[in-house]
Amino acid sequence: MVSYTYSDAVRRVAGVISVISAPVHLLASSPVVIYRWLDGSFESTATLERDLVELNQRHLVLQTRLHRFKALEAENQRLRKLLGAVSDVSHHIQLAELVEVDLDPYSNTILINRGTADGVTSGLPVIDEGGVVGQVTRPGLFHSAVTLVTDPGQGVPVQAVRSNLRTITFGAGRDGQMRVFYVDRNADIQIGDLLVTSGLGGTYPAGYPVANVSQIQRNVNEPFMTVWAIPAAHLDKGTKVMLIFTDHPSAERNPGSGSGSAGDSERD
Amino acid sequence: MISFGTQRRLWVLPATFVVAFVMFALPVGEEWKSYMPAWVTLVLIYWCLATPEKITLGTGWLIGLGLDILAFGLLGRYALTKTLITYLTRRVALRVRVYPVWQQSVFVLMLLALESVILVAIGYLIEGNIQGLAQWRALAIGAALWPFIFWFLRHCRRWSRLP
Repeated sequence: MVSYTYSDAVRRVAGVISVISAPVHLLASSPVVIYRWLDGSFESTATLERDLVELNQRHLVLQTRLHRFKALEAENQRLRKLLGAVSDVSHHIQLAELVEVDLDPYSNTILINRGTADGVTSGLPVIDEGGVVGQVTRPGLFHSAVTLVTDPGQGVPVQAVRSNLRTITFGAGRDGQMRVFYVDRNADIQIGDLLVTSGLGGTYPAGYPVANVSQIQRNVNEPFMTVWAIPAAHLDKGTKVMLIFTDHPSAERNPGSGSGSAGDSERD
Repeated sequence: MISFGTQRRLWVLPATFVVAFVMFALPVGEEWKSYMPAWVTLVLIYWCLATPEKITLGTGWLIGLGLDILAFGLLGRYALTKTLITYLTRRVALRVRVYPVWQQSVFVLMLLALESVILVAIGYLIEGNIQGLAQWRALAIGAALWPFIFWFLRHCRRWSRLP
């Protein structure tokens, strides 16, 4: 294997030059944008009203649950303090939209409409409402490329919720599936187990869903099992994703960056 | 000297490349991705065959670099393959342009395959795994589409009054 690195200057220049690709991406994504717009404008009032009622109900339910989680989080912090453990770092979230273009047939990447101008940096975790999507690998000035968790080069340190088993997932490179590596022959893992980020490695914060175990194959003469998983994120359907910025309690965060679009950034 | 009415439409050549760039970025979905031919390479090969004196190695390199930037990929990957394709095509342009179109298709297929092999090899060196083998379908489709692309771009060239 060969490793490579760009100098800081090249990275910055490449990020700025990536702006010239914006018109091409705009043209390429226009068929999908126009189709969505037409689709939306022909929707009947009845459908919209039904959707609105449904969303309001869901919002209410989620809000109620959120109150409970807030109380639990506060209690958790208090107990951690009593134990003298390191308190959890806080995160804040920024919404981003997918740009409907194909970046490169030889890689598993998507394009989002946030860049270094919005405080995006390389290695920033990206999630959607289902779970972890991937991480920012090539930030441009206004757009960034995100490598999906289904890329064979992307490893995510995970933990099974049911059994606390810690392991690593990699993309399988086909059919949008993932492989779970280094699972001992007699480890406690079952089909349907939810794998969440373990927080090890430092890229992904702990506790976000990554994948569901879909297939387990025990090999008698090998030390590890072959385990397949299906990503929890809606990698092929979603149009909106969220960027997770970590606010380190010790490190001072630049107030100017990350809150470029004040409307859609919120704290949790 | 060029007189009125026979003025060359020089913007046509870059415009065909812009269209190819847009086609490259066109979202076609996961299942159709491996059927999309390398539009930029096809257009590049045509112009190298038709006007070898207009497309220099530098032009090929710039187009490749533009594609690298467009793909948010490793800088220089497409720049390398496009430069190589420009070199090879220009080298044999005067011979290949008098071939019948189906023979040109075979030539195009070889170039597309070469580019694919290089891209997969670079991916293997960098990532340590082989990706993009499903692209072999795109090679066949690219070569099969060559007669149409050739016909279309020849019309564009004549309309633009390039030599």
